[in-house]
This record gives sequence, structure tokens and C-alpha cells, in this order.
Amino acid sequence: MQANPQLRALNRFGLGARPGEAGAIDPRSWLRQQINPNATRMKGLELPSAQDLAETVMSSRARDDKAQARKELRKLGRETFGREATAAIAHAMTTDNPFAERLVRFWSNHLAVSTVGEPVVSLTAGAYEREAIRPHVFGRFEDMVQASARHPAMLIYLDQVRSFGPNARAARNNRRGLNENYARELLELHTLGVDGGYDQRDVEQLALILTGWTIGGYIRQGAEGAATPFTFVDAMHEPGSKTLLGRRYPEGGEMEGSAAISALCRHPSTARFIATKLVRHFVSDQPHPLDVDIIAGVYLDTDGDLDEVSLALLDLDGALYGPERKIRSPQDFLIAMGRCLGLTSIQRKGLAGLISLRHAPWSPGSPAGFADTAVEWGDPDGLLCRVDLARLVVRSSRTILPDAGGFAASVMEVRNPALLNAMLAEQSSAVDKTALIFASPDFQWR
Amino acid sequence: MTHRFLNRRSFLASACAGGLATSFAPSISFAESATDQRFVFVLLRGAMDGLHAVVPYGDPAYRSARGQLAYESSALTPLDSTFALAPGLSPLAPAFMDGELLPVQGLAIPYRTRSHFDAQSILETGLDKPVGSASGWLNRTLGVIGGASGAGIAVGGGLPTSLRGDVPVATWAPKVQRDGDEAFLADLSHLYNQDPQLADSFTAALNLQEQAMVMASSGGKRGLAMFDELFSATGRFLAADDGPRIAAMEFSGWDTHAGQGKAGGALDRRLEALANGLLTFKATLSPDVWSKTVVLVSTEFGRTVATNGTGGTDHGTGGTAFLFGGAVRGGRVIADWPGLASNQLFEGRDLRPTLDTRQLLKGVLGAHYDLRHAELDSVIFPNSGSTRALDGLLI
Repeated sequence: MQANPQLRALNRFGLGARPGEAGAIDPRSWLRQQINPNATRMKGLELPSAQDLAETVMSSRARDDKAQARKELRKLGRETFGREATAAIAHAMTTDNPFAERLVRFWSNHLAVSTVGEPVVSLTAGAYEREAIRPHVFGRFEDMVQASARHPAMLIYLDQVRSFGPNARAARNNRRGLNENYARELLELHTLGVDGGYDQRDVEQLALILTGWTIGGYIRQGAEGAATPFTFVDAMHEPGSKTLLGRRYPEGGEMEGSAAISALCRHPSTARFIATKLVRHFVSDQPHPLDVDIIAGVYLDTDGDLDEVSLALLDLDGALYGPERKIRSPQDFLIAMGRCLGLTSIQRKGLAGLISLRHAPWSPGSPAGFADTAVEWGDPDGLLCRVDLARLVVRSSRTILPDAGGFAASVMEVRNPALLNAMLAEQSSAVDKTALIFASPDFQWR
Repeated sequence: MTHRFLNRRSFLASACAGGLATSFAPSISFAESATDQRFVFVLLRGAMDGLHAVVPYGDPAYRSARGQLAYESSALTPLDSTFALAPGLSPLAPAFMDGELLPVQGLAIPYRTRSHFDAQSILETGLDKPVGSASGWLNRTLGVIGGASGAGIAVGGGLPTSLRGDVPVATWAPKVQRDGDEAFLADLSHLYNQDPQLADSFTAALNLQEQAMVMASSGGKRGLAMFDELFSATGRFLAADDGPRIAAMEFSGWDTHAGQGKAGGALDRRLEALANGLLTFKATLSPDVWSKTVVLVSTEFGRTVATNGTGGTDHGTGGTAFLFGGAVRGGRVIADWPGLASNQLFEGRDLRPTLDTRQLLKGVLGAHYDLRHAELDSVIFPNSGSTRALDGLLI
């Protein structure tokens, strides 16, 4: 099958072609013009900030009726999550910068938080993506990791918020102490990768370095601090020097953690790990080593400038022309249908469909984030759930296509047009014609 | 959907396109296939704290080594002089007495890592090091025993690595309602048959559709209620005469870095849901099928012996598994117990592993499916010839 570079740009690097769009773009310039910090902004929304949420959480924790307060917080978490998730999907359906949005979604998943079993993360996951991820998608990777490390969603999700140095002032005379969860995942999942050259001692040293990084007012120590999304509490911090990856970090309070993150982000293992994930996301389930070398090289040469890294992705051999295909994730499948039909919002049932497909926003089963391959998303039950979701979306949109075959060819690369047209002719209703296109195998790929 | 509509479709199906009719022939039938034995692999993702489940209360160092998370003795159900069931697992005590529960302690994969993802990869691929794209040992087992398409099923969470591979398998998750327009699906199956990567998957989905349609589902329960719902569904799949024979299930939520709790706490409630789910599963099977059934509950590694600074435990090494089923020779705990004193720990912090997980897996599969050494040592668990299968696990 001849690759169609316009559709590749719109589908593989974007969030789904709109009818007629493919004929109107030059693929490379359409993609390049989206590499622009303004392209990642989400505007016109009355959604809460981390600061709002920190105040909400702290005032909830200060209440005497603990059980009732927790119940209300869970309810608020569910409501906020619903608003945030529908807003994020609607934004993805309507944005004119879908490549930039794909990168937002990639990085948000790379530095994943999860709302599963975490009411406070349900409150803050949307704010996390807006505040820690979006501003840095075309900035430096290190700035994104520094922002992620200081965001309440991540501080809570990976337990950093209550990790105390064993010899810290605030840990004496009580049973508070170290929690190495965040430090391990910062090394394994956010920067170096599991084979990146660290050991258990490095995990523990990084955990000590990061002690004191918490949410303002979260830890009770008599004198309550103000509710802020991030604060460094010296009384929680392990005193003395630490050694990470052979480098000594003299006692330096919060700056120890900043310096450690900076060093991790400049590490060659981080460049390779990031490059592998990007190539897997945009080009192939089995990233080619040469592609990984190219992207890792750009990353190291530019000190992790994601502007340059994103640009380099577009020039890889397999990006717009190769035979490889990538499967759409369930969210991207839903978003692509919405873009095809010109929808501007999703219904509650659409979100329920994503839950059935195990791809509700910000809800991966682990801090590794959602997987990114056909074997993960092409399972039998998942395909039937996509059929259900296609019929649901089409039925509720009531779109009538005068020329279903032409519509199909304008939004996806059709493997066998004659067979598709024959099956479209079988459908007795306009709804079924459109649903068949969305449920077809060709629409699952990009 | 009207009858007229269906009739028109049935007519079309037989009138045109030869492949259409066959694409809906029921092909899930397992009767001609090799086995009646049922096997379920339950993976607890996130690393269940085995010392909090099968509690080494008789170890002299237990209390001092564990710290604030040590259970009160009165909360425990003793199994022998060393081990006791956690309060949440006490619903399984009668099964232990009846010889249907076999806990195994001090187990680890053959590769030292405290990464969830590497450890799960090794546990599910059955290899001795992490290899991203490898197939799973459950799928290779299906291949060896001649499992037809439809002999394997993953319940609840997509297609786990353990069941990925050459043999097509089904996946199923609870739905409130399935939009089951057969004619529409038949038309789609024509298109999917042309897709080299998704054809098998779509066929497996359609094959399961008939069974799943008649399975009443309350529809996507959340939280701890998931255990009962998914175990019940798995039981009903395996109970069917022509149903699957090997199932994979998974549950997350075991990564208890903080606030793990003791009796009635967060982890204990999850253990209780697991125990009750296992009993629900048993209740869905006839005594005859139950006598041919083995459930293996496993997790990627154990957790630190000591309580961490936040009332939880961090990633460790030696861990815990259970066998449960009518075919299990239980009523005892398998452990070559290394002890919990600080000089007995692995790297000064974890339970020292004394058993390779593959010893357990090979012992179970070998006995259950009457497999040859060559199949176990090189096909299902490649390069594991020097890892001896545990004997005497099953009746």
C-alpha cells in the first residue's frame, strides 16, 4: 500500500484527519508550524489550579469530621476528574494543533500520574498536565521533570509528600522515615530507564536527596505552613552529603534534588530511553536502533531541547513514508472519530467507553503509564469495545454522509477500497455506514 | 434491530461471499482438544507483601524485623509452627484444612531486580531476563498441549504478556451491555480478515461473543468488588463444556508503599477480597471440574521485611505464591525458610529467595498437563533445564 504522507501527518502525528483536510496541507510544514509553545495551551477553561486544589485538600485535612471530609473529597475528586477528562478530550477533538497535543499526551503519559485509587490525584491530574507538562513540551526536558517533581499530583501519587530523612529533625522521636517510591520511578521510568546504570544504593541515595520535597501544609509539625502546591521542609530533609551515580552531593537542601534531577536529565541513558519511547510512539512498535541513535543524539546535542527533538522525529525515514503502522490508542480512536464528525464534546457514555477500553484519561494501572503497542491495544475484547464505541458515537452525532466511500478515503488509508465499498453497500442505514468506517481495521491504524 | 433485518442479512450471508457464513461458525469448541484440566494464573501486579499474607509469626525475629506492621498473634490463623494466614485470608483456612490450599514462601524470579516492570516481564515470559517482545509461558503451554483457538482466555484486563504468543486467545471484560449486531460484525469480519495484524484477534473476539452474550454481567464493578465479579466470570467460562481451559487474570493495587495497615487495613481488605474471590470461583465449578482445577496466585516479588518510613513497605525480593484447587495437594506450606534476622536477609533488607518461581510453575504445569521434561525445559521455560521442577504439588 502506497503511504499517503498527508494522511500520515494528520493521523500518525496528529489526532485524526478531518474530511477534506488531507488535500489542503503540506505535511511537513503543517507539522513544523505546530512546534511552538503557544500550540500546547488550553484556553478558555474554568478548571482548578494546583494552588486551588492544595487549599481544598488542606482545609479538608484540617477538619475534625475526618470520615465525612474524606467522603466529600472523594466526591469532589470524581466530579473534578469528570470535568477535566471531558475537557481534555474535547480540546483534543477541536484543537488546530493536534501534533502539539499528541506530544502533550505523550509527555503526560511518560511522567504519568494515575487516578486509580487516589482521590487526590483525581483532583489534580488535569492541573498536573496543564501546569507541569504543557508549558515544557517545546522547552527543555529537564524543566518538565523539575515541574513534575514539584507538582502535588506527582508528590502524592508516588508518596514523596511524606518521605522523611531517617535522621531529619522532624523524623526523630516518631516512626516517620524514608519512602523510596518516587526516587525509584524517577530513575527507572522518568529518566535513566531500568538498564540505565543505577543500583539499589542509588535509589536510596536519591530518596534521601529528595526528602523534604512536599506539599505546603501537608505535614503537621505544630506550626502549620501555608497550603501551597510545593514546599521544601528542611526539618524533613536528611542532613549530610549523599552520593548518586558516583557524584557527591554536599548538603544543600532543596538544591540537592534540583541538581540531581538536572544531572539525570543530561545522562546519556536518559537520552536513549526518551528516544526509544518517542520512536516507539510515533514510528514503530519495534524502534529501529538507527532512529533511536538519531533522536538520542539530538537530545544530547541540544541539552534535551524538545523543540529540536520533536523536529527530528519528523525527519526519520519511517515517519511519513515507511511501511510500519501504529495502532491508535483507545483515547486517540475516540478523538479521531470526534474530529471526523466535527464533534466538540463527548458524552458521559463516551468516557464510559474509554473505561471499558482501559484507557480513561490519567488512569494507567501503574506509574509506567499506558502502553503504546498493537499487542497491547489490539486485544479481542478491545476490538469489540471499539465497535461498540463507534456505534455509540455515530448514533449520538446523527451525521449523514452523502458519500461514505469518499469520506473513508479522505480520513484513513484504506487497504482494500473495493471490499470496504462492498461492505458499505451492505449497510442499510447511514448510521451503520459511518460506524462501519470507524469500526473497520483501517481506522484503528495510523 | 428487527427480525426482518436479520433475515435479510442471513439471506445475504448465504447468498454472497463464501467466507461470510464460515466466519460465524462456532469454532471455540474444545472437545476435540487435548485436555479437560483447568488452570488459572492470577497475577497480583504491584508486588503483594507476602510476609503480610502468609505471616512467619513463628520466626523469632518476626516482630523485631517487621516493626510496626507486625500483626498481633490473636489476629492470625496459624497453619503450622512458623506460618499463619493473615486475617484477610482467613476465609481460606477451611480450604487449607481440606488440602486445597498450598502457600509457597520465599519464591523469586531468576533475575534480581526491584523494578515492577522487569520483574513482571520475567514472571510472565518465563525467561531468565527481561525481553520486551517475548511471548508468554501460558501461551506456549497452550501450544504444547495442542490448545485450539479459544482454549485460552484473559479475563478483566486486556491481553497480559503471559498469554501473548502464537496461539490466538480471547479476552473478556465485564460490560453492562454489548452492542451485538451480528450482521454488522460479520461485515466487519470481512474487513478484519484482510488485516494481517488484527485478523486473529477479531476472530477470537467473535468466537467468544456467543458465550459472553449469555453471561450475565453486572457490568464493570470498581474497586474490591472486581474480585468477585471477575472470579465468577472466569469460573463460568472454565465450567463450560466447550469453554476455555486456561485463564489469566490480574489485579493491581498491591504496591503498598504507604499506609499498608494491619488487620482490617488497606492491604488486609484487599487480601480478603482475593480470598473471597477464590471461593466464589470454586463455587461456580462442579465437583468434577473442581477436581481438575489448579489456580496459581503469584506476584512479581516480595517487599522489604522492615516497615518503611510511611507505614508501608518498599520493593523487595523473596515473595509468595499460592496454589488453590481440587487438584492441589495442599494443607502445608512450602518454604525452605531462610529466616528474618538481619544477617539472614538478602542485601540486608529483603526475604532471601530460596525457590525459583519456575520450579513452582514447572512443577504445576508438568503434573497438571503431563508434560515432558523437554517441553518444560526448552519450550515453555527456555534454558531452564538446570531448574528442577517441584514434585508432589498436585494430587
